[in-house]
Amino acid sequence: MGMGKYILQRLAFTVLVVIGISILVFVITHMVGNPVDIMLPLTATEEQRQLLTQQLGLDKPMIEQLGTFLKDAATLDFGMSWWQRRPCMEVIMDDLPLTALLIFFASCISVIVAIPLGIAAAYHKGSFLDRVLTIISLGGICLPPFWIGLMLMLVFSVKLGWLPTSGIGTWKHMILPALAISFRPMGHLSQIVRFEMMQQLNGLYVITARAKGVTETAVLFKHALKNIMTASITMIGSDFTKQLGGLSASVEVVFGFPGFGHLISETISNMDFPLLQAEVFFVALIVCLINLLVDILYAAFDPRIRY
Amino acid sequence: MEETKTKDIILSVKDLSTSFFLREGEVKAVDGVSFSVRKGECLALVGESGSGKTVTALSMLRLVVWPPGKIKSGEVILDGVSVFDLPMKNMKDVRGKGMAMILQEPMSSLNPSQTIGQQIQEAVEINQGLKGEEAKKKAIEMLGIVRIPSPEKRYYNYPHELSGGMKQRIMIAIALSCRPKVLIADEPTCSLDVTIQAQILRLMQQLRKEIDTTILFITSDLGIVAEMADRVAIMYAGQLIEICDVFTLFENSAHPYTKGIMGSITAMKEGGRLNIISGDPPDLMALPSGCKFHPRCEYCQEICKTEEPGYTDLSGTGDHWVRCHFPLNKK
Ligand SMILES: Nc1ncnc2c1ncn2[C@@H]1O[C@H](COP(=O)(O)OP(=O)(O)OP(=O)(O)O)[C@@H](O)[C@H]1O
Ligand SMILES: [Mg+2]
Repeated sequence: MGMGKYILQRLAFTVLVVIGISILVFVITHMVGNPVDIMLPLTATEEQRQLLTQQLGLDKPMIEQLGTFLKDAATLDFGMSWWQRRPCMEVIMDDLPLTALLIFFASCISVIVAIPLGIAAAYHKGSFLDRVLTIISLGGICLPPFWIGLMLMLVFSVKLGWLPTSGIGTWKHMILPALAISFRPMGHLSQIVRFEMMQQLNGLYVITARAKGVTETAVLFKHALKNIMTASITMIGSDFTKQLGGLSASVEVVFGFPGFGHLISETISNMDFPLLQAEVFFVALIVCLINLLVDILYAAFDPRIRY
Repeated sequence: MEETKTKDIILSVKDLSTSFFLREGEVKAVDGVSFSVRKGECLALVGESGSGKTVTALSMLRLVVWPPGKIKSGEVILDGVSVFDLPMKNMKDVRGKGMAMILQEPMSSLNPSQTIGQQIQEAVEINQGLKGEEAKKKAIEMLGIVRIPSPEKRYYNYPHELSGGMKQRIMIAIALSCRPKVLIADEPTCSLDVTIQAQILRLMQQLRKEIDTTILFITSDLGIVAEMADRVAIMYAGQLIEICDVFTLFENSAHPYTKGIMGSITAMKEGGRLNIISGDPPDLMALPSGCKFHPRCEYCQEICKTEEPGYTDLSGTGDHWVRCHFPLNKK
């Protein structure tokens, strides 16, 4: 099977997954509560309630509502947000690109820091350096990102005054939130790189390479690095999608960053079904596409994988 | 133990000891091994599984990894250079050009994410000073030399696309591309079936004539010893117990262990594998006192249990050494 055909197949699969997840969310959200109760004050009359139910289309059978939803979603029309009273697409397009950029920055920071650290720890396994790096990366995994964010803000914004405390607008506003988000992926990735690299360095092909006179630097970067890439990419991809699925919310709140994670949590507390539907749709789509990208990259790093 | 004809000696190993320090205790994998290899000869290192042959070879190249492995003592002189006295970063000059090694396990000894061409070419670039297209041409030539069909195409294959026998040839090609003063071949045929084994051996013999290298051939197959080697060093429990030429090995060996593994010459001609001796192989973590072989030796006497034998020069010329209190050779 050629690469092109594989990608097409995966894209078709992506469509199925997105539709499936949309249906699931639609059904579940319609079972958990009545939005009319939330949108109207407790003093509202029965007529007002029925009018709104009609306006929202909630009086129609669920299967019909679902059909309408899917038809509109196909044209990326998710209707009006109940909470913000403007089109869902508009709300999402305000926040999603910015957050995607933020998480992309965070991923870059994590890759740039974690790969060299993990390799160094593996190469000097058991040394003082290795232990310090392990403690740091475990810290990165365990400490809550909002706390890391607050500490960064205290040092770099409040004490040193180098960077703004909150808001958006320039790349300077991105640095601290991206750093705060990057700690957890950095911890994950450096642990994976350390473990994978230790395995590779025990491999016989490393002895073969050394036996022909290859330098230690070349053993690490010319020989072993490529072999740890599949595991590393899996980790990078999985952390990226988790952050995008709402994990970044707490950091966004700390830095007053009007992002997608924050939006998701607000949407849920406002019981804004159409907006929630749209958000789930985009998260599912992006998760599928990133997984596809990860799988394509696999083939680039491991010649045993063919599509 | 000193050999008399020192002038044409290219490699000498003196009192080499390597241990693995595990949680359960120290594994004395190599324990005071000394031998020399003369220029152009093929010395076979023979012993049963676990006797320390591979660790001896890896130690010579300082490829034993700490933890858990550690070279405890010894000296390796390669063409006048004391290998263990070099700083680690200079080892890249000894590895390859000085000594190249064909590893025992061809299936996992190649980098899975590089083409075999790249891996041969790297050895050419490092050790022959060629670059780019020239090095690539040389690598393709090496593929031809080890009889890989359509080398230009195979250059681009990855290890998983080759059979075991072909991978073994690639290992040979890599080692030969280093143009080593001493080629260490660690059981280069043990994982292959009989026909391919014969092919690879024939190939190595031809190559040996063509490029005239010195070979340290590690094997546990006496048929191969008879075919390839000029001299033989027998290893038992991390120690060398007998060194002699191949003729002496078959006609007049002195150590009871050597006699034991040889079995009868007729059995030898049929199989070639080491004869199995009764008794358990030694536990390297709890070696017996005295002669390491005494619990399995049918000629064992009181002194063997308490006192470790030194080396005895049987030939008087330094060509036949044995480590036994009561050598069995015909005078
Ligand atoms: N990395 C290691 N860690 C612990 N022990 C080891 C290690 N490598 C080798 N040993 C031990 O050292 C001893 C000698 O091993 P070695 O590989 O040299 O044997 P060998 O003579 O090459 O055997 P074979 O014919 O099976 O290849 C064995 O008891 C083995 O268990
Ligand atoms: Mg071995």
